[in-house]
Amino acid sequence: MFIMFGDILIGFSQVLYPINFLALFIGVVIGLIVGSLPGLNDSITMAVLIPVTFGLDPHVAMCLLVGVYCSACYGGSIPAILLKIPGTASSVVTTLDGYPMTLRGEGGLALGISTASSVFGGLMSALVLMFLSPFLANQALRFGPPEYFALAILGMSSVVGMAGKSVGRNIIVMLFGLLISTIGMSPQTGYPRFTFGVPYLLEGIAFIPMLIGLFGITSVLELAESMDREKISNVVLPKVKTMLPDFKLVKRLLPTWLISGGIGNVIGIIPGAGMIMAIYMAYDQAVRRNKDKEFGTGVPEGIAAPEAANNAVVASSMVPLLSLGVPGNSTSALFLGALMIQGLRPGPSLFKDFPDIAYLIIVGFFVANIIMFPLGIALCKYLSSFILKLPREVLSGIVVALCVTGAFAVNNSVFNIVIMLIFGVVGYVFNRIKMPHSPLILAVVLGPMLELNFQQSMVLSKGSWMIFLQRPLTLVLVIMSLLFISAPIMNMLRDIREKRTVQS
Amino acid sequence: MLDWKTDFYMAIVFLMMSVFTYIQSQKIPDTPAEFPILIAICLFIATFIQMFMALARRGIKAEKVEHKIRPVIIITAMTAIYIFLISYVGYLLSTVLLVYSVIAVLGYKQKKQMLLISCLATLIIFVMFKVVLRVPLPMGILGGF
Repeated sequence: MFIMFGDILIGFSQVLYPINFLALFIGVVIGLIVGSLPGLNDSITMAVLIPVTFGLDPHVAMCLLVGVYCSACYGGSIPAILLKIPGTASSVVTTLDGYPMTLRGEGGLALGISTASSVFGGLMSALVLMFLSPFLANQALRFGPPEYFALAILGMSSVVGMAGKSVGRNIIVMLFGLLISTIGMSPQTGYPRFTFGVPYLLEGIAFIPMLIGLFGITSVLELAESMDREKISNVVLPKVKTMLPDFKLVKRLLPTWLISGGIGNVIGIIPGAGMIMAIYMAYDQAVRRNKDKEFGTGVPEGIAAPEAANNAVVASSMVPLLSLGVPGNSTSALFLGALMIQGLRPGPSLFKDFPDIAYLIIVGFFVANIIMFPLGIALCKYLSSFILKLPREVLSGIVVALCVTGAFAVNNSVFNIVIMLIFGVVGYVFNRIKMPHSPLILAVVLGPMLELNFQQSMVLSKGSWMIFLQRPLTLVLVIMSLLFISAPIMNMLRDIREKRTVQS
Repeated sequence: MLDWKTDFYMAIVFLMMSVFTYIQSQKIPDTPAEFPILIAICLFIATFIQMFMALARRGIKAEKVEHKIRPVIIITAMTAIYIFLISYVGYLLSTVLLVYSVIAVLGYKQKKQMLLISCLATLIIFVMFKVVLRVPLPMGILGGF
């Protein structure tokens, strides 16, 4: 335990090192700005920033990305509250009670509640990350190939389990992602698969250009399609002064913060479950617990719940990535890309070999949440009206330029731009036919891990599948996977039963 | 809920993909082919079920959203052309062209501003990547300068 506190101190000294702190500060500012811009979000920004970061020192690079990730979903709540336009998908629910408050002339208080709730949720998850991930990583040092195989299976089954009504689509997208992950040399034997004679494909589909396409290019194509439908240029932002909640209100909101933060943390840790799910669950909980209040009319709890929850997902989604090497959601998959580009591999060995980086990221989340507080208030006051006047057409032009340059820069190859464009179109088509992106990203990451560890397990057990049931840890992971998979099946059965009772 | 036809065609596309993968995997030696074949079979089963579930919904009308597909195709085509241009014309000219055309396709009207923005954005990004990060961006016909 004492060693851990020592490590955390190392983390603090790393984060507070001037250049790292500056990077974190800039990251938070960038995150706040892009978050409050409708159409841009943390993933797009990070995908575009990653190629920039790889020329930087890994400490500086990580601070920048941590700052962006931390503040973007809070930034999204500003236009959500003031204009009823969520800046990011994670602030969709915030509009429900935030905007009515603005209409009532309480926009300032609504922003204050959102700020306080976000910081509370963020700090809560930073603490979870700080204490849980070194512990988990320590356990994971004992993992062998069968455990890692079971872990990859768990990651994928949680995607299926969290899919709600679109289980079939999730499974298909995930299998598609697994297929993509098989392109290139096979992990065990190095035999080239599905490369069709293209030498660039030997290394597999480049991960970062793929993410740049899926996030950056897709967002521009989406905008191109909807340009007429939502004109938001020339919006007039109401003039408000941020008012922090007073002690009485804080006392009233505290249970909501704790519960929503708890929901956010749990959802964040589970690989595959996303931020959107957390905000709806938290809002739903708040509604159920406050039956006397009419939600949707400007209830403070209606802002506190989703805002505490979405920021609680942020740092906790890094728990599985840092400790086990399995990304918790598509944004933390971007961190995986950023770390790999620096030659670092997340997972238990990161804590052992590069504790400075591991603890820098952990403490970075903590500090970023603290500096987000004053910066957020300043942003609401001075910047947001200016930011929201930026024409989205122009921004998209700049995003495209950054995307193509960034994709090229990953390993100085034009072929990367091809990959980026292909996945940009894939992302757009997926959005059109309502196929989710995150199972694809997760499967591409987990595919090689799944295959390699499966084959190594088979070598260990001389071809017997029983190895996954004989080891206690794998057995637990397999049972958990089964529970996740059975959730949608149970739901389906319940639906059918309900339909029958209605009919009879 | 989407139109059943969209679901159906989507399933067909992925079904064909699984069959294609299966056939291609036959050319690969046993051990490396194991995993792709397994995925292909799973994908085949999943899409097959999805196809039938789509058929079961036949006749149920879904609301239609109008999509403007033209600008999407133009931007995609512009980026594809860009990929060809960058090696010959070089980074600077082709990127200015790409940014300008994307902004134009998205419906921005002020031409002078557009030119200024596309030149400025390209230049800033160029300096950031080529000079600061030392990425060898292709220079093309401007290579002599």
